[in-house]
Amino acid sequence: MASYTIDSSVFISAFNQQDVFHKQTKEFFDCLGKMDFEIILPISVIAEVGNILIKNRKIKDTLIFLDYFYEFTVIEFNYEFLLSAFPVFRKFKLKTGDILAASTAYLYKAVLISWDKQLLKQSKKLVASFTPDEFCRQSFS
Amino acid sequence: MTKTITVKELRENFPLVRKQIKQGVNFIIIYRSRPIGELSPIKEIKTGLKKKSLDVFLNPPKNILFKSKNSAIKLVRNERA
Repeated sequence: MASYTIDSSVFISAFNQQDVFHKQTKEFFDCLGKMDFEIILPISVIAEVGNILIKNRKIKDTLIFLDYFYEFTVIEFNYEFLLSAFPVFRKFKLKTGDILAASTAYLYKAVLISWDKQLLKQSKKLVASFTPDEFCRQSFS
Repeated sequence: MTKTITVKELRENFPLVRKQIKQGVNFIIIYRSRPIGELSPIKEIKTGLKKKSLDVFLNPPKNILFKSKNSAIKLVRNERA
């Protein structure tokens, strides 16, 4: 069973109806649903998505989304994680939010999925990294 | 999601624990301050839950959808600036 770390940009694209990738994001979740998978999410992704939703929706509506995310494997940043992650941080030249997503994928041997090409450009050096549409094309070609 | 639970808590709250296991939660059982085992849902249930949770992202409920002219990438970049 393959593991995937999905970056905040993919989830936000699913929730933002005007996002340029909104339709392709839906197609991605449709592709993923046809496979045997495990989703591994750093808790920072949940915090980021929550913060963006709170700026655009009511708090009570935003709280609903938490339950959806906690059906996946959520990686919390405790002492053990940071002990393993700090040496990995040196391998990437990324900002903290990006590096937490990339390091989680690296440490848990997951494929990183993001719409953010700036993040993918760096993460590709060490982790299998794809945009959602690349992932669908590769999985079903 | 993984939680820890003592044997005493497990004994006293089993209906609640059983409900959470059904929802996909894993438990590490603590006895005399040490982890002694795990309780987790059977794989079929976990997979079913994951597939079900993907449906939410495929067709998000209206109360969680929003419209922003800023792209998802820009919204996330702003958080990481």
